[in-house]
Amino acid sequence: MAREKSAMNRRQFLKQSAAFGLGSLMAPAFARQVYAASKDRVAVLHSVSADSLNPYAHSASPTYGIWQHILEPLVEVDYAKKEFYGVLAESWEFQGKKWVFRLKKGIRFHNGAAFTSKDVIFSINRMKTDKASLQRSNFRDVVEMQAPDDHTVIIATKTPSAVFLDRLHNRFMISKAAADKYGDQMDQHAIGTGPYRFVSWQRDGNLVLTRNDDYWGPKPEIKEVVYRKVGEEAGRVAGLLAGQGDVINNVPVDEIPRLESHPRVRVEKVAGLRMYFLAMNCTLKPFDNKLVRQAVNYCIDPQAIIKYIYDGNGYMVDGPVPSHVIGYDPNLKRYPNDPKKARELLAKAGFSNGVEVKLYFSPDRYPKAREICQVIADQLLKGGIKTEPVSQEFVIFWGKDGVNGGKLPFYYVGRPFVDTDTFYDQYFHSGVTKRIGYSNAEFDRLMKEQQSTGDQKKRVALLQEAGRIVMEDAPFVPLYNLAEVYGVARNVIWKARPDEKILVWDMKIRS
Amino acid sequence: MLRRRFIGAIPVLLGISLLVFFLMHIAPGDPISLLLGDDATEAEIQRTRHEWGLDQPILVQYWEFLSHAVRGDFGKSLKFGEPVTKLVFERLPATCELALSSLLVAILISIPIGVYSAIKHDSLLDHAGMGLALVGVSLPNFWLGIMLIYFLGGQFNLFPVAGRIEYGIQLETITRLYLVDSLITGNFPAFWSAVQHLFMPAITLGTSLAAIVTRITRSSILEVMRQDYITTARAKGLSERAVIWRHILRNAMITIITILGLQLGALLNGAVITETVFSFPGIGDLLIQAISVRDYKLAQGLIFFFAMMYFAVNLLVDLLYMLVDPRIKL
Repeated sequence: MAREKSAMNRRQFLKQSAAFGLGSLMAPAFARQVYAASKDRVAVLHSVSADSLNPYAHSASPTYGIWQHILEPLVEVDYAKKEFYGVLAESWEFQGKKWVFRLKKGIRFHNGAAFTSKDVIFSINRMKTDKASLQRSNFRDVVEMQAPDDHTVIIATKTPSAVFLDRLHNRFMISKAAADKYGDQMDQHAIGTGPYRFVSWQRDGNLVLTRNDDYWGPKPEIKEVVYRKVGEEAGRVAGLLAGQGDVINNVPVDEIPRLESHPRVRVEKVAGLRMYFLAMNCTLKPFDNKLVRQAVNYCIDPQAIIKYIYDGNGYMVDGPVPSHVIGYDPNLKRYPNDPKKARELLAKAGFSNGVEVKLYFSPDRYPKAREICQVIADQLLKGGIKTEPVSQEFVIFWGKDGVNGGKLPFYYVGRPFVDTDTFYDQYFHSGVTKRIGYSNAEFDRLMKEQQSTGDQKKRVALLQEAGRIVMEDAPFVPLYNLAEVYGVARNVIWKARPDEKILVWDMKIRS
Repeated sequence: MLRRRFIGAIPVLLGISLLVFFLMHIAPGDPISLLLGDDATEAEIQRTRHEWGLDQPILVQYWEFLSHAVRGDFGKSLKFGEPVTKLVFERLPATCELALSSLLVAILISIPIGVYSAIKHDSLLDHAGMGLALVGVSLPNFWLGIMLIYFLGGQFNLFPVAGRIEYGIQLETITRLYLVDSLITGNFPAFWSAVQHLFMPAITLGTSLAAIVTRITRSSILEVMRQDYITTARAKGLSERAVIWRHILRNAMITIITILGLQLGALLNGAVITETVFSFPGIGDLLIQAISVRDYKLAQGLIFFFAMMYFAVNLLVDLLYMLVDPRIKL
């Protein structure tokens, strides 16, 4: 009797069984775990990472934020109160050419060593002398340091430096005992006094931290922190939406609606510290003429840029500096938007037929710079200034043939600052940089005086006076501060800071 | 013969060193201002430029570079503050792993489609296969990468969007090739995590290669199929399966292997973009970072290294070719 032909032969049966077996083996592995942020772990998908374990080989705010989990500074800024408060320092006193810091007692490093004045001197010395340090310029005026006892440090400066606290925040303290023990290898151990201990790090990979249960201050709620570098915007957004991370930074404004409508995540925004402005080099034509610079000021309407390019995610600067910084003057207002007045000033300056200029910008550094400069060109045209936007790679734009070489007549740039002194000193104080070629003896005198004035009220008044001069001379057009936009898992309670730092110890988990 | 190849490589490498050094230095841009960032003051820029020897005449800098490079010392990276060779060797295994996985992806996709298209040529499936190959070769790999991140990463959460291994997974590194290390140490979670992290980058990088190899496979099989010995094989009464496997494929393989080997060099090129899109810490990603901040020493070291890899791969392919076809001599 002929055997009935089976619907499936042996070979097919084996193939299908193998495929089924393999599939069932793989399936659970493919369904990736979705991490809801928990008290056990928060993962930050970050646009940058620590390039090395040298704590001083960088000078960028987001990177300071990463390091600040492990290492701590003497002082930090209270952005709401516009003043400094002590972290490792208990108190301080400005005594002309000397700063005296009294340190908090009972603080220990992760290796158990007590934190003393010797660690402060060791750390500052390393920031000053380490060839790889990018934080040296903050201590260029420091001539001597003394430790009269374990909890007092005296720092002497060449000239009185009232703005030293501003130079000192973000300068982190490392352990001298660890340096003595590990020598060249000390950075591999990353020992600090901070609320988190260093666990592991891969360059451009993951940085893992674990809670320091012996921390001297309030204990963080979250046990483990992972910073993972995801350079690509699309990658960060996708990672957050998929639950592969709990917090992401630098969310493009176009992605805000998508994130806001997602059940797992929310958007967190705050006015950033970086003030954007148009700089005009006073040594280059036609900006050597004050009337032309003022005319440019009259042409610009930052509100239009904020509204149409940033979907409202920006905050116009109403004077020379934003209202949240030290040195702000509520009585000093920006130039109104008045293209007619601009034309009059141009005619007075001898450009009755208008003037042609180039506006330089760097699209790889500042968000939407290309679109903004197009709008600015359009606004300037209404005032009789024909503008050609010129795009440059940031390494060229910022270099010796660009901004820092004093070669660009007119450019779009941003600068983060907490104290007006930082901005005025670098852009308008004669001889500090070549960026803008501005020089005014009275302005320089006021700057020098405020830099050596210990009385904060008097110092602010001097900065305000300097502000009036620089507004009249108009070497720049203040624009706006943009929102720092973060994507955050909904169960993370956290308020973003204006300084681009993501500090996990500030986070709580909604249970 | 091999000695002649090596001696011949010396002027090539010297030429590359000249080209790389001068092109990097001619390109506008100032690494020092960038390094110092917002706080760069004029005095600090001058001081740092001097410390890194960038204020020296260009020929002095070239001599400095060359005299150290011949000893395998490419100096210290400006951005990372570490020796260039250390950075390269730290990242090289990741790139090798990515390149080899992409090669595997390319083989798995292209050989079956190529063979099938050739055997059933002019059929609907053949046209579909070739259409697919055309699409594959035309897709820019950064775009494909971003699409994979968006859909497979973000929407379906099947694969991680960046990196090489999941956080929290401990892996003892021996060769720094994560797949190999995890297998040696029997660490299955690490192996699986590494596979998942490699999947999207390898597909991205492997797709364009697969497209090329599919077309080559199809045409070389078609050529072999027209040979007399295939007709003979069929006349002998061999089964079609035996004809395809033993006679057609084996003979067509010579061309395919050569193309695959030569394309390994192109994979290194592609790795530059793919690694950047996936934040995959290999030497391609490192090169992009080095060039964008004009980290001269790191970029020079890396490009020089790429050149040597090209040389090595080409030599390897020639040797392999000699093995496959004894009529060829170096």
